[in-house]
Amino acid sequence: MSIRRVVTSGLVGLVLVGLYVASYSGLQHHRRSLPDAGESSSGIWNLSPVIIAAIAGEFKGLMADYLTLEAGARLGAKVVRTPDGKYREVKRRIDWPTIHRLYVASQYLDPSFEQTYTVAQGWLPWEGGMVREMQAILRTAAQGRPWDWKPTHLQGFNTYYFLRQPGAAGKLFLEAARIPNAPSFLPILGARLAQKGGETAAAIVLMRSMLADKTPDDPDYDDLSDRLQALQGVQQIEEASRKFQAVFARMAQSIDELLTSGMLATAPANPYKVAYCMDKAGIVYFDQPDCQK
Amino acid sequence: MHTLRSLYHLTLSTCLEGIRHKALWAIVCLAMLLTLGNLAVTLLFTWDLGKVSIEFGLSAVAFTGLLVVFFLGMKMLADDLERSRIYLLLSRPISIWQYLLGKFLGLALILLTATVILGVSAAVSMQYVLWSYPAFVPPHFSWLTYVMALFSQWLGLVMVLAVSVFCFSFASQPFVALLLTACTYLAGQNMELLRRVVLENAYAGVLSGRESLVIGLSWIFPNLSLFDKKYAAAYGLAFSGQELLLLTGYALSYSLLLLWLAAFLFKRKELA
Repeated sequence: MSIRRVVTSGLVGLVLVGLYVASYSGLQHHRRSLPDAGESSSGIWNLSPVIIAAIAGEFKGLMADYLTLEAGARLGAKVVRTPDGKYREVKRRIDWPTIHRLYVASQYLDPSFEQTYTVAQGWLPWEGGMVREMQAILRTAAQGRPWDWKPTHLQGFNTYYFLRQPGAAGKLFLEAARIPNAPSFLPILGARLAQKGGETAAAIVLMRSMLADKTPDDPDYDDLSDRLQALQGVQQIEEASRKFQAVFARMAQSIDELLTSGMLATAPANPYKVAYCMDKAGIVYFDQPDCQK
Repeated sequence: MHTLRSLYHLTLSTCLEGIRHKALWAIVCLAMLLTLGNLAVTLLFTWDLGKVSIEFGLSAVAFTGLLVVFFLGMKMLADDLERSRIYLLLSRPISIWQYLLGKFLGLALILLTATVILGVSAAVSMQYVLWSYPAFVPPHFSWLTYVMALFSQWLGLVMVLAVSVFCFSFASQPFVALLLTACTYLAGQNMELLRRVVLENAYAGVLSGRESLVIGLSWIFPNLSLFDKKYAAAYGLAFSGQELLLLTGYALSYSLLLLWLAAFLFKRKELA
């Protein structure tokens, strides 16, 4: 009787194990056959950021870390196992709106997290074509990290490179340059771009405010003051050119014409020891004496 | 004098009972695991490693503290009733408020011990990360801010503990008390968020234009989000001693008020 019982329960156990193995391996096989198995575009990040913040409670920082990691895991190539047990990389289709939502949600929870804006900058404007969206992420990062010059610098880069607005880019570079520990090339680059984009007055104001915080002993003082002087020269010529246009109803062809017409009393001094040059479009250069060629 | 002695004995016995539950050993094991976990998790990131490490450490403290309140604290309170130990205590010259306050203080001591153990272990792993990756040390990071954040974390947990004692004082079943405490914790964590959404958002749905209701609720529920200083500690953002003092005052006054109400309700509770 007891042997029969043992055999019966053993058989029942075997049937149950068989069922379990069959169903689970069938499920795994089915998932493997799906494209991008396990990578759903639905998730907590599809909720409004306020709801995510409510769910995260006091663990908002950890949730932000998770969302950033989740976005990172969905980017780049994917490594898959071949039937012979080796690994190979496959390119996958990236769902950019989902990636963007992940970064926005992460930033809502932790607006100061460097990883979020840095990784997003590496992908969204380049591969995802989401320049405007990226600028919004960088603006939030700049507000959340007032000690960090990089978000504003990256905004300047995107404005110049993707949006092709050198004047606005220059202003952003100059803004970034005012943040402590910003690299010394930023004010010079910013001033150049701002002037090139017709923002000479703004560039001068920002350069002046930066010089006000420095002493002549600072290593970059001379560079900044030379650039300020060059910009002031450019501004003087631009003003004379505007006056010329108002009087003669046409653009001046060169700086010499401004001098001979009396609109410009004397050519301003250029700290870079070359002559200022004005091209046919009226753009003034302090470092391209042969701009008319 | 006698009251104080009774309170002291109750506090001490509750604390020892908690330790006898092997909870402290579980906490020590958890602390070691979390220390290792902190190192592993931090290395998943490429930037702001210091922030990730500090936030993980403080979150671990918060999470463990919640486990202590929800499971150990409430189990100990429930055990007193279920194993009829409460009759033994109340048959002595101990009033109900002394019983509740003694239990509360004992559990708060366990929470403090857990916070210190986990805080130190988190600090060790954080120090390792900060030392290994000096480029990612938050610009104004200070250990004083970390200790202040840890202390306010404990204050927040003490408030949750007071809520659990309050719920226990009137709930018919320990599970109901647990559920009510968990709901109050969730509401308390989001009180500030809700207040902000209603006050700053014209499209707050059914809550639109009901600022006074939300403000009223924020006076009833514990505003636990005020005690969450992980962000400040992680980015080295200073918060003043005055704020900490005010937080302490808020936590103590709210907890004592709840305990007073709990004593009042507990007298009416059917103990048999």
